[in-house]
Amino acid sequence: MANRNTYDAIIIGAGISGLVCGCYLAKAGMKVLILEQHYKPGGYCTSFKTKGFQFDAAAHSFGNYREGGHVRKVLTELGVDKIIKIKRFDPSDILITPDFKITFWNNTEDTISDLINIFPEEKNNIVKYFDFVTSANQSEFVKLKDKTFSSLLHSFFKDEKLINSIALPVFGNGGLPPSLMHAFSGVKIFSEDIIDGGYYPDDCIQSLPNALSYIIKQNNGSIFYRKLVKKILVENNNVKGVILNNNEILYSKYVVSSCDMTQTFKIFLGEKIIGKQFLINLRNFIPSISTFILYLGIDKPFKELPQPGVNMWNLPHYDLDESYKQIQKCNFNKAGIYLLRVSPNGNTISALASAPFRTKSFWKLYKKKIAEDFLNNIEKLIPNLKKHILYFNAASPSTLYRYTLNYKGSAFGWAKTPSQTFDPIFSRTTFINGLYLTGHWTSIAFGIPGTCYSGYDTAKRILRKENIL
Amino acid sequence: MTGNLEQEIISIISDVSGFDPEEIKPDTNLQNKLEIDSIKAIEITVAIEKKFKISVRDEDVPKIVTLRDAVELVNNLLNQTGSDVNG
Repeated sequence: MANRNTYDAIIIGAGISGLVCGCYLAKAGMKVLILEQHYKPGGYCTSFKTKGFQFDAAAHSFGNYREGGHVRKVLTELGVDKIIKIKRFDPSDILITPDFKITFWNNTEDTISDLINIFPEEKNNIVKYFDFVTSANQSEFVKLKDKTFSSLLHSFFKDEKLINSIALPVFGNGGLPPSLMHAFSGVKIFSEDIIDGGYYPDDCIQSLPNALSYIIKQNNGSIFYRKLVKKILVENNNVKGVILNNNEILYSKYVVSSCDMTQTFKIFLGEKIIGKQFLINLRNFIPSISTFILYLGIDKPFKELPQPGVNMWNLPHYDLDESYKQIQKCNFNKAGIYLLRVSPNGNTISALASAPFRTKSFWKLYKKKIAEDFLNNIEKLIPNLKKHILYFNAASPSTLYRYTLNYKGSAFGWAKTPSQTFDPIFSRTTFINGLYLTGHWTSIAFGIPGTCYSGYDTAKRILRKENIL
Repeated sequence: MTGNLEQEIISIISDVSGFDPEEIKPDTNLQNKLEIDSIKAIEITVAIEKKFKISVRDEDVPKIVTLRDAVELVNNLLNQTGSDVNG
C-alpha cells in the first residue's frame, strides 16, 4: 500500500469537523489526506487580511471550552492548547434593547443576578431555567425531542421581553426564531455558545484551523488545497476513494465527507448509487439561513464602540418571528436584529445579520444598497461610526457559498427544526461501507462546538471499525 | 416477532453509537457502555419513533436504560397502537 495515491482515509473539506476528524485519525496512525477547495483551512472559521486590516470571515469566537466542555476535551486531546493560547472575553456577549442591556458574564451567577435585577418578577424562573440548561439529566433532554425552543422558554417564563432577549443570541447562533427551533438545539446553543462563550485564539480565528492543520501534518497527514472532488468512488457498496475534477483518482479505505449532504449525495454519489427516492427525501429538507456580513476597517477606537472582543446583539423589538419573516423578504432593517463585534485589536468591526439565499445576480444588484442600509441602521446605535471608516466591504450569502460551497450559503447546516433535526437520514454513518459524514450537515451539529463534536464522533466510529480504540 | 424487533433496534443503536451490532447485548447499559450522550439518546429515540411509527411519551423516556428496556417499550407501544411490527 505504498502507492502515493493511496490513503487510509480521505476527508473532503478542511472545515473544523474535517480537521478534527483528520487529526484523530492521523494521531492514531492512519494515513490521512484532506481535500479542500479553498486555499486555506477553516471553512467558516477563516480570517483574511486586506488593506492593512485583518478580519474574521464568519465565525469570530467560540464556546464550550469550560472545564469539562467538549471543545476543551477535543482541543486538549489533540494538543491544540499547546500550539495556540486561547483567551476568553468577559463579558462574552451583551444584548441591547430599547429598554435595557443584558450582559452575559463569564461568571453565570453574575449574569443571573443582572437578569433578576431587570426582571425581578421572573426571579425564580430565571434561576430554574439556568439550572435546567446547565444541569438537566439525559432523560430531561430527551423529553425535548419534539418540542420547540419557544415552548421550552414559555414553560419557564411569562415575560415576552425576557423570552425574546434570551432567544436572540440563540437565533443568531442557530438561524431560527424560537418558535421554529428545536428545543434541544436552543438549549445547546444557550449553554455552549452563550453561557460558556467568548473564547478566542491568539491573533485571529484562523489560528484555530491552522493549529489543527499543523497537527495533521505533524502526524504524517496531508492537506491538498484548491482541490475539487468530482465523484466518490463506490464499488459493490464499498467506498474505494475519490475522483478529483482533473480526473485524478485517489484511493482510500474510508472517505469522510464534511461537505453538505446535497453535494455529497447528489453530486459525488448520484442517483445511480443512492437511488431516486433518497434524493427526493433529501430535497424535502430545508437548509438553515445564511448571513450577510459587513467588514469595516476604522481609523481608531472611539468611545461609542462596544468593548473589543465582545459580541454585541441588537434587539430593537420583541418579536423574533416577525424578524424572521422580514429576513426572508430581505428587509433587514425591518428585521432589525444583528450582531456587531469589534475585533480584539480594536481596528476592525464585523456586523452580521441573518439573510436568505438568493441568486448571484440578486446580490450583484442589491448587495451594495443592502450593505449601506445596514451600515446606516448600525449608526443609529453607534453614532459617528461612518466618520471613522477607512475600509468597507460586505459578504452576501452568495459570497459564503463561493468560499465554502455550503448548500445555499447555509450558515448552520440543515435548519434545526423539531421535524428535521434528529432525522436518521443525517446520521454520520452512511449505508455505503466506509463512507462517513461529519460537520454541521449531520444531526444537531453546528458552530464550532457542534463541528468539533461531529468530527470527533466520526473519527471514533472509524477508529472503532479499525479496532484502534 | 421480538427477535426482528430487537435486531431493528440494535441496528438503530449501532448506527447512532458507531458500535458494532455484536457489541450491543440485551443488558448493555446504553449510556455507560455505548457512550450514549444526550444527543445520541435523542437520535435513538427519534429513529425508533420514525421506524416503528410510534410516539415515546415523556414518562417512558427514563425507563430506557438497556437494549432490553427499549425492546420492551417498543413492544408495549406497538401492542397499544396495534401497528404491524414490520411496518
